[in-house]
Amino acid sequence: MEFLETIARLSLLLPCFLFFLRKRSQSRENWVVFLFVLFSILQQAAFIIGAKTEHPEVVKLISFFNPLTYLIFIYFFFQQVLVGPINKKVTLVCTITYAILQFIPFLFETTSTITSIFTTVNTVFILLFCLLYFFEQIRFPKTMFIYTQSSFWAIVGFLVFTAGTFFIFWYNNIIKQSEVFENQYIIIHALIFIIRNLLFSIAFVIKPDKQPLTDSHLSLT
Amino acid sequence: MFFLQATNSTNVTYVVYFGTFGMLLLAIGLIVFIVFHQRKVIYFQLRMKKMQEEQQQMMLQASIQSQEEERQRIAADLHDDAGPLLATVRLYLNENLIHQDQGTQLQSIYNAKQIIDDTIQLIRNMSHSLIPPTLKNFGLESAVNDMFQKINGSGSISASARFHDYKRRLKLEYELSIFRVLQELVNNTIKHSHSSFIHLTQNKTDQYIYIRMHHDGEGLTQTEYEKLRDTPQGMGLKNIYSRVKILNSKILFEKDPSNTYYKVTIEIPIEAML
Repeated sequence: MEFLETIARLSLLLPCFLFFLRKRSQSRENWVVFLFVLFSILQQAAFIIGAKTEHPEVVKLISFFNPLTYLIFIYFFFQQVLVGPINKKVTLVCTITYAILQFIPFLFETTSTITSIFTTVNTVFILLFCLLYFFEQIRFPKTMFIYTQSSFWAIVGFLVFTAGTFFIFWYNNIIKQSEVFENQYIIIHALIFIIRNLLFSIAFVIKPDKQPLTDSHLSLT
Repeated sequence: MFFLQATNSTNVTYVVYFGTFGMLLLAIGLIVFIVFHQRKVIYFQLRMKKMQEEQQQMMLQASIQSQEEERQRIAADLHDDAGPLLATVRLYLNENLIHQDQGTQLQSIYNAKQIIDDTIQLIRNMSHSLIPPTLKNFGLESAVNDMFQKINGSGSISASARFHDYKRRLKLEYELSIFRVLQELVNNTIKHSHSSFIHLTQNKTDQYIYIRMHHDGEGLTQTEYEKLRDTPQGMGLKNIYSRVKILNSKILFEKDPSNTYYKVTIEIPIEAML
């Protein structure tokens, strides 16, 4: 398990390396993704330090801010990617709503149900943002092959990670109670974490298709 | 709900593995669907664009061809009619130089004058066919009535027109375009419909002028018009389409519910035409 966890943590270095390799040609949305990867590295470092120094409150604090920070990065990313002003407003309203909701546990006693609700809301928001992006890509297509855009791979990364970790975050409290469950958690989380980082790496290296849509594309389909 | 409410250990393991697998499958399914659907949408949009360009190209070709035909007709008229007449005048005038006696000279001058009169009439007719003077001086209503009077004169078909509200004339270029459309419609009716009458009415609302022409022969429906218009043979219909489009108007070909008449209605917006 530890080996898999280490591999997953080290996989964060791959997108960073590839980002610096093509630093000059990186778009704004890639910068947001890069900052998000940096945040993940800091988070993992805090987890390791927290576990080694036996200060669980550090891990708790990070766990608490994790969904909020994640959503803020997602928000800034989608602000760069989305075209429609209404869609941009929808993402802003959703993020503010979620950020306010995030402070409810400070006011009331946190239960596993509330935590689960937050996880669900977080997932729903991110899925909604991804759907908005895909909807825009169908309505206002910029390129013949959507997968030639770096933003597509970053969104696929976010989507796969959100969808794949939904159930393990949902049952987070139960999972933490048993070592068997925790192992399951580590396997699934590590695998999806690696996949996400690989997808971000693709986003950083892909060369965008800058050719405008013409009739010549008809022969390609 | 089972997926969200599991509590015992077997259930949780089951839910976590299958739930995660299901969610991943859904996400991948969504991504694959978007990739293929987006390509389909682009393909459809490009095809639509290409078809529109092709149609515009056809319209342009039709317009150029009709211009060329008009030029050829004018050239033929000038060459076959005006040319020989003027050559004859030249001959008479040459004769004047050869024959010095006054009687012969007067006769040649008289003959030359007659031919010059004919030539003037010929050129006038040609000019009238380019833009009818009635249309220029008295407007669409008079020009249509004039055209229908000539058709009636031929005796083969009865033509009548009634303008209910056409007190204020449209701009000359728009009137000319409407007249050309009506001319083409009437020509087509005479040539192809085998009808016994043509009746044209004009009505007006606050926003539109409606010109409706109906006849009792064989006609076209909207679908047939659109189909024929896009064939290389439908030159006249293409011209009608392009003129109607320039006028920002609509044209509707339909069969009367009683199956007795065919109707063509042109809806012309007034605002831009005055």
